[in-house]
Formats: sequence, structure tokens, C-alpha cells
Amino acid sequence: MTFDLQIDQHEVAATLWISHNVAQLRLDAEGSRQLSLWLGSCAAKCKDMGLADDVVAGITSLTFSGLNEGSKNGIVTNLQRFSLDYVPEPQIHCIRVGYWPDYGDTPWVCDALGVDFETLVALHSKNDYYVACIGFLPGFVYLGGGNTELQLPRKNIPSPRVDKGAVAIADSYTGIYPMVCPGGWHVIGHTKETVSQIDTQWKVGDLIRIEVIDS
Amino acid sequence: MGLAQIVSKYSFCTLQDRGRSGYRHLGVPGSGPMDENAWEFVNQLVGNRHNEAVLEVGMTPLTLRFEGMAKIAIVAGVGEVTINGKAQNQAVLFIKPNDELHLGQAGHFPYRYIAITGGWQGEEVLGSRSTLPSLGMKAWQKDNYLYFLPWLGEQHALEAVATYSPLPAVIPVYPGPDFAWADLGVLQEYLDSPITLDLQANRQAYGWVEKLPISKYPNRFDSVGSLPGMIQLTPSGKMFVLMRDAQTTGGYLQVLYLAPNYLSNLAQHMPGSKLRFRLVAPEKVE
Repeated sequence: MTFDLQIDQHEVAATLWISHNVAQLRLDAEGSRQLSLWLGSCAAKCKDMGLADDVVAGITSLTFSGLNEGSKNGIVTNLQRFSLDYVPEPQIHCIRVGYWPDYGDTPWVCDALGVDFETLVALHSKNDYYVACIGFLPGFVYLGGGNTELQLPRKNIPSPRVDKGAVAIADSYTGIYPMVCPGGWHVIGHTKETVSQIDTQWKVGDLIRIEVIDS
Repeated sequence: MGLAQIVSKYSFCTLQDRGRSGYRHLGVPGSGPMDENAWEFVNQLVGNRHNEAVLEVGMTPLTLRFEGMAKIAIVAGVGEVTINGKAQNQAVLFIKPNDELHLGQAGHFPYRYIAITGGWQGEEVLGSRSTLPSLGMKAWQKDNYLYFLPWLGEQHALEAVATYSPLPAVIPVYPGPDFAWADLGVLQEYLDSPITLDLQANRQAYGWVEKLPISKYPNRFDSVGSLPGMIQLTPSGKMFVLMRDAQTTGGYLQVLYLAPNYLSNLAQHMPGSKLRFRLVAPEKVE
């Protein structure tokens, strides 16, 4: 099923797939800060309204699970109404990140990008990040809005162990590891403020600022 | 509190209640029993009605040494059970202190379920006792203790042997969000042949050995929410069905979707066994 949505004053083509009690909305658009804001807020609203048990915002999608017959029929109408009435309200979270010249993959990253440590810290920490996606692991956050000078592909061979709280980069995203696990992203910093899945207020679209701290 | 200690060497069990709902937006999968039908049935056999946690036992043998009396039920492994070395044919069993319950290597179904009156006790995380290592919950292994409420009830046994629903001959699959990326003729031919289940099949994914011949794949695929039952296709043609603990987002094409009420049946196919699927006519789906 295809239809149009008004998102941020633009008309966006949308496709809705429904099967049994699940559905997925795909948007014909590029991932962006504004789009994530719309998706994250829409997801939260749909869940609050009881439309679905779970609504997960992707980079350009929404995935619904636990739909009932009534809510299935109302998805398109609800999305269209939401896209017209919507007023964005991102929450702002500040995380304190430590960077050290010899920590994690920092030496390799500086070398690969041809920057010194101070420049790396400046390029990475001085951005207005937004939450683009939460997934892969409970509390694993993908942050968009990073500096394009810091793009590196994922490691070919993941590191067998990444610290809980590791701040890492891959492609155009920054990731925050919520637990010790193997990881394929390049670790360049550390934060104690991982997303606690128990009482987190973070959602897709929220804004993230980095405060650089020592050790 | 009653105790049961796992004394078998290679055991790897989890506790499962119905699982967690409402946290997928934080990356927390729903979890819950691989075989929901067996879970429901085994809880009923011991009179549990309130989402009590059941022990989900993997394929390796399990020996439990009990301290305390207990009434338990076992489903999907009935042919393989002994107490103190003596073969048991009934689904509902009465355990005396110091009894050793043994469940052999899985013969027919990879997941066996042991329910106990009042449910197995354990920490709840986000409202559920379902074990999920990525939430810091550990699986149950050798030397671990399982806890249960003391049981002081009647001793007469039920005569019924737990009958377990046979596996369906053919599992229906439906078009997924990315159905259009697959060539219908090629896909139909692929699904018309038997498909072998990977030996590595686990609570996150059931992979298929045979690859789907594909001629095109997107250069870039934005992370999208994923669900149990979604069937993903990787650039190499590898297909796999997402199961109960699958991660909540993914970067692969979602070509097919398994009918939800068949996920439990799929789960109970032994790794390495052959599966048959039936594509439900695409024109019938909106």
C-alpha cells in the first residue's frame, strides 16, 4: 500500500506492509536529523495511543508489532494525521566522554584519518548529534550528525572485546556500546552514561551533546 | 525455598515466561519460549496459570539434583527421562528430596520444557524472567542452582502421557516488506524444494543451508526494525529466519515473513533437518 505523508513540510512517499499482527512503514527519503525526529516521536505516540505493543523507528522506517484488527485499519489514517499535526519536541541529553591518546583504536584512527589526537577530539565532540537508531543490542545507540571527516568503514575483523561505555565510530555514525561484547566499530572514547534500558528516556530523534572530560 | 542443582556438564538452559513486550524501541527483543505451545501445555500440566517461568532445556543432556519435594511436568522430551536411573513415561512427575532427574540428549525436538508448580523463581528484568544474556542475565549451567516454591501437595499421578503436536509437513510463508527484490519464479522454485536447517540454529536465528540465487541487492540498506518470523536475505543469498532473541534492528532485506503461529513449529525442527515451505500466494496479500 503506498500513500503520501507530509513530513516537515515535504511530501514523502510511503509504503506500508501489513501481515498478521505486524506492519512496517518505509519512507522514500534520505535519513536525516529531521526525519529521525519525526520517526522517533511518531513511534512513541503510536505506542502511547495503544496502536501497537512496540513501534521501532529505523533510519527511514517504522516497524509495528502487536497490532490488533482495529489498529491495523487505522494505521494509515493515524500516520497521516500525525504528519499534519506534528510539532517536534526533541529531548536533549548530554553525555560526558573521556578521550585518551592511547585508548582503544584511537592511535589507529588518527593515523588512518591523518589527524592528531587533539583534532580528533575536536572533530568528534563538537557536533550536534541525534539518535538515529537504537538496536543491535539492548541500549546500543547509533548517533547521526557526526563530522563527515571522521568516516571510516567498520573493521573487517571485529574486536573480540569492547568495553561497556565505549564510544566508537563506523561509516557516518557514532555508536555507544551498552555492555562488554565483541565490536566492529573503532573505539575512540568512553562514557559512563550508557543507555540504561531500565529507566532510559532516550528515543530516536533526541539530541545528544558531548562534554569532554578528563580521565 | 526448594533448590535444584544442575550437575550435568554441558547443560545450557534458560528460564522463559511469555517474555517482554514494549521495549523493542530500546533494543530489547521479546524473547519468550521457542515453542510457545509446549510452554503453555507444560504449565497447564502443573496447574500454573499466571505466566510462571518454565525451564527451557537445549539439546544436551540435563541432570538436576533436587533438594526438596516438587511436582514437575516435562514436555517434548518425555521419551528420554529418568529419575534416579529409572525410566519415566508420564508427563507429570513427583520429585522427592535428593532425587536426580535426568533428561537425555534431545532425540526428536531440540527444545524440552520443565515446568514446576508456582514456576521457577529468578530475577525479573523489565518485567520478565526470560533469560537474556544481553540484559546481564546468565544462562543456567553446571553447578547453578534453580529455585522453586516449596510444594506440599497431593501425591497421585496423572495417567496421561504428554502428547505433543506433530510438526506440520509444510510451513506457510508470506511476502515480506522486500518481497519485490526477489525474482518470483526463482523464489518459488527455491521454496518448492526441501530446505536444510543450519546446525548453528539458535534462539536468535534459524539459518538455511541452501542459498537463494539472487541477481541484485541494494548498495545501501538503512537499518530497519526487525521481528521474530521475519526472513532475511543477505547479499550472498543466505536466508535466515529471525527467532525469539533476534536483535531488534537489522541491515538486510526482509523478503519473507513466517506465519506467527508456525514459529513454534519451526523452532522444534532439529538442526540439520529438512524443512518444507509453502509461499502463500502473493496476490492474496495486500
